[in-house]
Amino acid sequence: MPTPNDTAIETIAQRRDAFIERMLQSTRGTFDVFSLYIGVRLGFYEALAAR
Amino acid sequence: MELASQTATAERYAREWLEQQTVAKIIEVDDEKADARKRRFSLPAAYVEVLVDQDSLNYLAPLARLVDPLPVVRDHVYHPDFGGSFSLKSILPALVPALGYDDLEIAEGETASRVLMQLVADDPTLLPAERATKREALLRYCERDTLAMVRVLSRLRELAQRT
Repeated sequence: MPTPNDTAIETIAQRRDAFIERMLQSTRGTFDVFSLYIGVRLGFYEALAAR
Repeated sequence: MELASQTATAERYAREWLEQQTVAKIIEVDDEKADARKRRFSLPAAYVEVLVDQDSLNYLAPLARLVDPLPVVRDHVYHPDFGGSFSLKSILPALVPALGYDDLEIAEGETASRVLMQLVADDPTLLPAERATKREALLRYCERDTLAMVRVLSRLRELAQRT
């Protein structure tokens, strides 16, 4: 049976992992926005959509 | 390459972007096994509205151009009426005198944050009717904030042209 201490450690690990996932997602999101900016400013999306 | 010539960009640059967008699953490649220079790319029909259709409410391309205008104002604009503050509430009366918050039930950020917390946390002391009124007042405040940003931006553009 897990002791309260085990549970606390598990919670910390879960929170850590959730935070890691959030940071990774945010970083991916940042790249999405940067590349979106390039595509919008250079007219790439419009050119692709017009095909 | 077609896209590069259509948009007057360097072919290498356009290709790098196309490959990156494909990996990011925003655009699609017709045949990934084709030679790098011969690959054809397309924007999925479902994404056209979001990225290209300027009249759609789902048009999100401007998000990429979202910037905080605070540094622009702080570094380049001053009016004695700012009173040393660069918050929207301080600069708005000086830059756009016709627009204010006085007619609103919620007229400043702190109250807005408090009401938002009340609504989000489902404050039990709030009656359903009150809740609806507060929600409406908060929406009006957000609406005014957005309009204020739009007007400040056009005022800044005016000022920039004058100098």
